[in-house]
Amino acid sequence: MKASELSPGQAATIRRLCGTGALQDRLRGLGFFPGETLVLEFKTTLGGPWIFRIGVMKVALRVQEADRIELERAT
Amino acid sequence: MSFTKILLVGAQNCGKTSLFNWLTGSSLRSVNYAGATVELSIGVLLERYGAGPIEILDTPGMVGWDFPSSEEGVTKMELELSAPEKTLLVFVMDATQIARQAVLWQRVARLGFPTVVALTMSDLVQDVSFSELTLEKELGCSVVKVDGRLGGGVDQLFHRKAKVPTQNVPADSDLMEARARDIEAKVLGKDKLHLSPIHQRLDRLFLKSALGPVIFFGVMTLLFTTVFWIAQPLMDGVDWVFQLLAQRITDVLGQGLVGQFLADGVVTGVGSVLTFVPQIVLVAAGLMVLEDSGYLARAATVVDRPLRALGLSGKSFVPLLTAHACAVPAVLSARTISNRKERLLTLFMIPMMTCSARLPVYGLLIGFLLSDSPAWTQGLLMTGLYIFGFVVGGAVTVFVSRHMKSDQESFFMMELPPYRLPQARQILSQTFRKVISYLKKAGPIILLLSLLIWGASTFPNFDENDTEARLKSSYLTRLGQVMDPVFEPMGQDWRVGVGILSAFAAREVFVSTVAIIFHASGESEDAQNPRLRQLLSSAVRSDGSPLFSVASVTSLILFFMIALQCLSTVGVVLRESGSLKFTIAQLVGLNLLAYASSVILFQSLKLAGL
Repeated sequence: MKASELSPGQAATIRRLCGTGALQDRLRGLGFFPGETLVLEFKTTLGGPWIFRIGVMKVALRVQEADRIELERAT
Repeated sequence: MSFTKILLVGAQNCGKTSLFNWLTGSSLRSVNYAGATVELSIGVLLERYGAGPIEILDTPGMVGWDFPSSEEGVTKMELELSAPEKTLLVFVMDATQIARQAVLWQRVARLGFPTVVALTMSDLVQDVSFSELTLEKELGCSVVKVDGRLGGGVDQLFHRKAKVPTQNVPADSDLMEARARDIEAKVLGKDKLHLSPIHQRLDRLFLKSALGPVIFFGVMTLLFTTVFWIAQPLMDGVDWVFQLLAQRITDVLGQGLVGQFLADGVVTGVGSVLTFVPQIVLVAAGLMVLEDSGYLARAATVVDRPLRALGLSGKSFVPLLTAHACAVPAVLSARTISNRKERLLTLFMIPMMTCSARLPVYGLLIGFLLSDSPAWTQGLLMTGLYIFGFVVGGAVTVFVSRHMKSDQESFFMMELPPYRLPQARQILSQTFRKVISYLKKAGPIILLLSLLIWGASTFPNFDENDTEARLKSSYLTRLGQVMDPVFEPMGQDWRVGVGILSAFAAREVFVSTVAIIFHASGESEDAQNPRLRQLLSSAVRSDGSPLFSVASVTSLILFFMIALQCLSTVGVVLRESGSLKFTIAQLVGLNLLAYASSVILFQSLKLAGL
C-alpha cells in the first residue's frame, strides 16, 4: 500500500520510495527511510497537505508526494 | 587552537543559526558565490570562546544531498573547498531526530574534518534514557549539549577536543540509513520520544479544524496592523529628519548646484533608502517571531492548497507576505523555493503586492475619490486595494504560469518544528541581519536612481532659483511633454506623466513631484495636504475639462497597482533570477499591462459618463 492510502491515525512501515531522484533525495533527507514507522496524523482542512509523523518529527506532504511512498501492510 | 575557520553544518531546522548567534558578536558580513546567488552568513568568533580571529560560517541547512537546492549546494561547496587542517567542523544535531541527522553526519564525516557535535533540543529528551556517551562512542566525536535558544553549554564546545571521526562510514545511502537507525536505537534504548499533548492540540487547531484558516487570517491581519501602526510614525520621523537636514544644507550652501546636489540629491536619496527601514525591521521581526514560535511552517501549510491554484506553493507564502512591506527583501526571501518555475513565478508576483511605497500615492488618490466621505471609508477603500492588488497579481500570475514551461516537478514538504516561545535575542540578531542585507542590496541602487531622477529634474537650468521653473524646464519635464500623447489615453496629461516617470526612482516620489508641478511646493508635501488636493482638483486639461475625474483617478490607481516602477526591485530580480530575459519580460510585460488596463478602464468609465 501507499502512504496516500493511510487513514488518519494509521501507522505502517516504509518499504521503499518511488518517484524521481530529486523527490526521493528530499524525502530521505527528511528521514523517510525504509524500515521507519510512518503515521498519518490527520488531513488538513480544505484539501491541503497531509500531516505525517516519523518518531516525533512531523512533516506536511501533499497527497502526490505521499503517493510515492510505498508501505508494508498497515498495522 | 590551530584552526582559523569554523563551519557550522547541520540539517534544516536543527538550531544552527541560533547557535551561530551565540558564537558571534554583531560583526557580520556575507559572501556571494559566483554563479550561485545564495549567500552565507559569516561572523567572527567571540574572543571569550577562542583567541582569534576565527571566522565562523553558518552554512545553509541540509535536506537534499544528491539533488541539492541552490542553498544546499553552497554548503556542499564550502565542505569541499575548506582545508581540513585549518577548519573545525561543528556538526549541529537535533537530539529528537538522531536517525535522520546521523545520515547527514556520515556523509560529512567522510570528509575528514576535526569535528565536535553540538547536540541541540536536548531538553526535549530529558525524560527518556538518552545516552550521550553511547552517541559519542557511535559517532567517534565529542558530543556537547548546547541550548541554542538560551546559550547554555555553548562555551563547552571549545573545551572538548575535536577529533576526526575514524569510524568506517558506508558509501551507500541504504547502508548509511541502516547504520543511522542503528545509532538511534542504541542511543535511545527502549524508550520512545513523545510529543507533548499541547503541541498535538495546537496542530489540530491550526491545521485540521475549520478555525485554522480563520486563525491564519487573524494572525496576518494582526501582524500587518501592528506593523503599520508602529511603522507609520517612525517612517514619518525619518522623513522629517531628512527634510530638515536638506533644508539646513540649502540654508547654509544656498541654491547653488552643490547645495542642490547635496540637499535634493544625496540627502533626499539616502532618506528614501532609510524611510523603509522601520517597516523592514518590523516585518522582519514579526516574521521571526512567527518562525521562532513554529507557527510560520503551519501557516505555509495552510496556504499551500490555495497558492497551488496560482502555480505556486506554500513556500511562496513568506516572500508574498514580505512583499506587502517592500519587494526587495521579499525577492531575497524567495531563495528557499527549490523549484525554479515556482521561484520565478513568485518573483513575478512579488512587485504586484501592495508595498509601502504605494501607500502615499494611494492616500493622495483615494483622497480625491472620497473627499467628502467620512475618514473610515478611505480606510475601507485602502483595505480593498490591498485585497484587489493580491487578486490582480494572482490573476496575472496564473496567466504567466500557463505559459511557462517547467521540467521540474513541484513538491511541498514542510517540516513542522515543535512550538517554542520566541527568544528576543534570536529575533533581534536575525532582524539586524535582514536590515543590513537590505541596506547593502537595495541601498546603492535606490540612491543611484534617486540621483538620476534628481539630475533629470534639475538640469539643464540648474542655476534657476525657482524650484518650479527649474523643474518645468528640466529634461524630465521635456520627456514628459514628449510623452504627452502616451499619457492622454489613460486620462492624464504630461504633468501627471512627469510624476509617473519620477516614480521610477521610488513610487512615493510621485506625490512630491506632482506637488512641485502643481505649485504646491514650499509647503508640506504630505499626501493628506488639503491644499495639494485642492490644487489638483482645480487642474484642467487643455480643453478645459477637469484633469482629475473619477475615471482618471481610478485608472491611475489601477496603473500604480500593476506597474513595475521600482527599479531597485528590477535590479534585485535580475541578480536573484540570474536571467536577463525574465527580468526584461517582467519589466516590459507588467508596465505594458498596467498601461493597457489603465487605458481600457479610463475609456470605459468615460463612456459610462464618470
